[in-house]
Amino acid sequence: MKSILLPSFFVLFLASTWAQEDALAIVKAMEKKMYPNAKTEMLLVHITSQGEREEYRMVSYTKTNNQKIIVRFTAPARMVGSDIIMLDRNVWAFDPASGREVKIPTNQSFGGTGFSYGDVLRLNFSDNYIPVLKTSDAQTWTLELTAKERDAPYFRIVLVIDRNFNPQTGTCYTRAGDLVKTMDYTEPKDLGAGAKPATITVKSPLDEKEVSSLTVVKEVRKDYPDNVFNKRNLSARLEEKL
Amino acid sequence: MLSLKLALRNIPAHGQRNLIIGVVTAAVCAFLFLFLSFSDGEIENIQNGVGGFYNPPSDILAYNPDFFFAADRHEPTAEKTIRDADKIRNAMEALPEVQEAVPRFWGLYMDFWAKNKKYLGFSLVAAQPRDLFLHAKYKITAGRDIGEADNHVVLLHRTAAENLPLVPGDEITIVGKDYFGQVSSAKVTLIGFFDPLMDNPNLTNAALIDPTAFGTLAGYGPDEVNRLLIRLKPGVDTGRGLAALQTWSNRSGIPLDFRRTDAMGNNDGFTLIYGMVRVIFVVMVLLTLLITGFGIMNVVAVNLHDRQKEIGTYFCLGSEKPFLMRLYTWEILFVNLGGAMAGIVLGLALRELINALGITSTDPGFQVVVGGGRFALGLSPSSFYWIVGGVTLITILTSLTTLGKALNVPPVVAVRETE
Repeated sequence: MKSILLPSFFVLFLASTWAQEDALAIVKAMEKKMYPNAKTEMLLVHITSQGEREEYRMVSYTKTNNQKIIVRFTAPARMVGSDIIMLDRNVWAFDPASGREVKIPTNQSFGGTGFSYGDVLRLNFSDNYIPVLKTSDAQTWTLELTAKERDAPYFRIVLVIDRNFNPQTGTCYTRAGDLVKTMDYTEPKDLGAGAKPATITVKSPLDEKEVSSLTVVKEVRKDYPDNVFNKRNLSARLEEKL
Repeated sequence: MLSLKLALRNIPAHGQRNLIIGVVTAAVCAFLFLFLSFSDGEIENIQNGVGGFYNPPSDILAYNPDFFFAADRHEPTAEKTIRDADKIRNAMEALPEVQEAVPRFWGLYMDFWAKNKKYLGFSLVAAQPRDLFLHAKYKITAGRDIGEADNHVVLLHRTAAENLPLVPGDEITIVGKDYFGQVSSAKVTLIGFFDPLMDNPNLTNAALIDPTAFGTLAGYGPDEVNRLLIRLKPGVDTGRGLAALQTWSNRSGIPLDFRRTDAMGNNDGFTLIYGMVRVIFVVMVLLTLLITGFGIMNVVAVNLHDRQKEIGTYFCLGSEKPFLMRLYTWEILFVNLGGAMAGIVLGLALRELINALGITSTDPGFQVVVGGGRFALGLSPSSFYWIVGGVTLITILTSLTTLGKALNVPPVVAVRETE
């Protein structure tokens, strides 16, 4: 019995490790495609449960697989100047009134929309989650991502990625197992590096009338130097001079 | 002290005038005592009401040993928890010095979904079934209270029963961010509505929830809490209790950081706000006493003008001006202190009378002003000290600044037939 059990456990262990590493490779490939080093123009639309529509336009500058990112608002006027920088897990917002950078939680809701600051800037799957490949077919992989630490935005995410490494859907669950958010990746467009979803639509099953969507309008690949990604640069705006 | 002896003899000799001054001082002090009692009542109401829910009293607090190290370095403290809280609580309650140890969470602010509608901004309070202090702070108006066997249940404020279409038995989904910023949720059953004995608008959005559901929403595992509130048995000195807990901690090998609650400073926001209001009240009392003091000293100066013969006689007998300053300062100080004491006694009597009226209201404006649903005039030693100390200080100050002029009397007036 012992002679059968031990090799079986070993094979299972290897299989699970392989599946985990494979899943991580899929997630990293998806992130590389979705979040290149680039200057990106985005439109965020939020429709409240009362049917009110809010629009935010912004330009982001990204580096190192979205580990470093600056977001500058171009509309509405009240948001212009309230720019954001995210370095690893830390987010700072510039307060134009005081001329200072204020640290904010990544999970804070972005202007009351369905997106958190972490979602707008980047939902860092490979850093924050342990991915496990649950199922796969000819078109897609279905991965289950479980938070590594307690400060990840969601406890568990079920992510469907197609064979071209484009995300299709993301379903976010709480620790209690409740579904709290669905993310649909749609409108594939070639923005310079092959077709990829240009729009993420976020809904909550708790409030189906409330919808938020983030659309990539334009993306120009560019490598920005490291000194651009500094919170002091929120006021200096070095990247605009490059 | 000759000046003291003469002052005591002068008071009855000029009884009518001193009586008038004493009555004025007593009236002012009675009013100011009630003024400060109102502030005391506000603070008592807050501590018994909102404070009782959000920051209940304790003698000693127990923390994770790394908690203050992280806090001092401005690092996140949510991870610095006490695990196996239930086991630790039972062990602590077995100590002869400890009356109860209550596992305690920081507050959480979350949204409710029920019957396809969203209700924003509820302040969650973990109601430990064995927390006798908390359960004594409210009564159930519908349904039942949270018990030991309850899991994933919630109690809402009585106003929720009036304003929301919810009844006991309804299922509510609570969603928000946990202590780590992660989205968390829990499905709970509404089991009833509570009515705080000392209500306040800040409690209308409070939701009492069982500790298991609270822990889930907070992002914590079972039996994981932020801190333990320890209440000692009556008569047990806090120092003795602290020593007993530290000895127990060392022996049991459960490292905890024990802190005296009274040495932690007041972190209750509501008490701090009303404490600041009290500072304003005290300043107003001192200003009123200062103005009254100068008024009284003017009366005293007129009084002394009428007593020029007496002052001249003192000078003829060889008295110096500093001696007379002392004499008349003693005299007015005794009159004013007597008036102040009489005022405080009158204030105490009025306080009893007003409290006996039992003025209550459910009006939010009223509750904000008086700190709770019942108009109560409180009592604290500081009110007594401020009035007596203020009267003493201001009498001495005004005496030193105004008496000198009144004592500029030539000795010859002692023998003048008329002015």
